[in-house]
Amino acid sequence: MAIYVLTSNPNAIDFDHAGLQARVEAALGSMVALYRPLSFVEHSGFSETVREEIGLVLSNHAGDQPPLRLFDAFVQAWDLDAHLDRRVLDLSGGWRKFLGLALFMNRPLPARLLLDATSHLSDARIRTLLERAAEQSDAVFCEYDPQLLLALPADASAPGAPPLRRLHDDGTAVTEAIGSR
Amino acid sequence: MSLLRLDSVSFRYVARPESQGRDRAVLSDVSFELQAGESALVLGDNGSGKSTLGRLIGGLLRPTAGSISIGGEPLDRVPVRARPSRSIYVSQVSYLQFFRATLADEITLAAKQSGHPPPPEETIARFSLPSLETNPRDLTYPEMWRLQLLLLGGVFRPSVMFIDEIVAPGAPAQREALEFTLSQRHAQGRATLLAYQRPLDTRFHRVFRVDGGAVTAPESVLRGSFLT
Repeated sequence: MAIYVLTSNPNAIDFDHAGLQARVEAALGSMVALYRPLSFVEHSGFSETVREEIGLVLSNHAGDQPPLRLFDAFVQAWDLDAHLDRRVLDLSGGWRKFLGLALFMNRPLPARLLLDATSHLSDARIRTLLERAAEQSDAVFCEYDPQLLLALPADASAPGAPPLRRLHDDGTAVTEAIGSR
Repeated sequence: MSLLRLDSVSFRYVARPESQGRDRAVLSDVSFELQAGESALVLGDNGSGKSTLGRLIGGLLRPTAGSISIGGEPLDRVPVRARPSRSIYVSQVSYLQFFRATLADEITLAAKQSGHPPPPEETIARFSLPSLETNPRDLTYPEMWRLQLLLLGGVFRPSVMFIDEIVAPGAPAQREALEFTLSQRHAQGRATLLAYQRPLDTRFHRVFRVDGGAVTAPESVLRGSFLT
């Protein structure tokens, strides 16, 4: 399980998802599921509270693809217990995005390509995201500001972010940066 | 006299009766002020109340206690139509603040609405935007952020502007747009606040931290630096 930080032309994040996804799949030799932020509309619209939203999503996973964590373990792993009884639409922008990311990361997938996943998240949220990503399949983060992720400071209260490997996209192929391991 | 002044401001989100939830206090007894030309970085974790503070200063929310004044005038006495000249909240959701089909039309609309002339070409160039014939909805997310700064900071020119987060602050174009905006507003005697999760390389006159409902200024107060 590896976590990569992909540097690319920022326009690819907004306008070339399909091409970027294909290049990452070629580099990893694996299908990847794509995460794109939807400008804070990270909400099914079929529930009101965070508790209801999590329950709805977890109970609607396909039968042959159970979620990686069930309700209680999911809430604990993603630090969501303090927000369970709040309306999703009343969450701050950062927490609403984080909830959507957590639900995406809880799906069993062979690999993930996450576009602009970390903007609007604090270091604590990003660290949790990386720790959860490290437990699962490969995750590739493509950010407008990759340096922010690469320079994430260590935090004494957390066991440290997992090592990040660097990929580069030149528009034709994605390759691993020399010495990134 | 301070340009922006918050006196014992508190705010709580009121739970809807049918939700059986509890009210949620976000800010409690917050007081601070900014002088004309000053800038402030507002640091805080997700959900700490940064955006709520911005919406209060932008006049989109009203304090549940305390008062906010701009240039000595209580913000709640400013008519809605006059508010953009006093204070503006720059939303995280950029596209909600765009209305027209081209960047050129957006600039024209902002000039008409604000009563200010459109910015000169050399100012627009500092925001590294694509062709003015581009549809704002075809911009990248960082480009949308820069367009917001140009329209709201460079055309509307409110006395106080609260920017709710910067996208990709490490990108040179973003940093140049921000620092140009701060220096312009400093020279014009206007106050600017920027909310973000972590410190930035850009220097601000003041740094506040929002945490546990309080707004404090633990970091050093910077004066002068590049804002001259």
